[in-house]
Amino acid sequence: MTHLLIELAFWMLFVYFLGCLLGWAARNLFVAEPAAQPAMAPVVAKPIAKPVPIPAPMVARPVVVPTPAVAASVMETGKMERPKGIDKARGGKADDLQRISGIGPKNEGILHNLGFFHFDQIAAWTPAQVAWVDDHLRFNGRIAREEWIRQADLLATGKEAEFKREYGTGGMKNTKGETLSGSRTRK
Amino acid sequence: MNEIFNWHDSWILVQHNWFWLLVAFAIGAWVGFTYNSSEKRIN
Repeated sequence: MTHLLIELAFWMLFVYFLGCLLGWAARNLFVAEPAAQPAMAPVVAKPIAKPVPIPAPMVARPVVVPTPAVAASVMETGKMERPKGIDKARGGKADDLQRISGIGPKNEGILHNLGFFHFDQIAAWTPAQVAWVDDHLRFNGRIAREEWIRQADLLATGKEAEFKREYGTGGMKNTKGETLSGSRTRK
Repeated sequence: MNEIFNWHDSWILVQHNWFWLLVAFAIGAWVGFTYNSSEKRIN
């Protein structure tokens, strides 16, 4: 009796994995990947008349109209270009990229590996470069949604007040070393 | 007990429990269909 149960369990496991495999294959065959489409799409560099508000995963935050550069990257022109990084941080000291809401230790490490250590480097990304990084990290548009470029621009230009008003503190410390907020959530 | 496994008995077992095997297959298919490795969120 016991061996029948064990045998049945093996059958069920086998059938479960078979289902997993077939389901996965069916999804890949019949459902188009939303992220894969823009990469393969032909170049359509249409000027955007009106920036489209990006749906945000968070509630109770104001609707933000993205800058044209960000919106362009969201619309995906189909062009991708790897941004040029640097070998090491200027002056041996990297900016605290984790201040950008959406960048944590993992992403910071990845950006360092790609040669990005400073806010101004990220702020200088073109839409094609944003598209490359987004694709490279499989972010499905997160860079645009979380407005990394604008955040980096504000931080690079020292507009702390504006940054704080729009994005909170990113859960980090201020220039005096005080912890301002425990949340990365945008205000 | 000199033969623990044979395909004939196993096939009978499958026939008797086809419903639960179908359920396991359906669950597996759903998991496989909805699995998306690129949606892992990293910070």
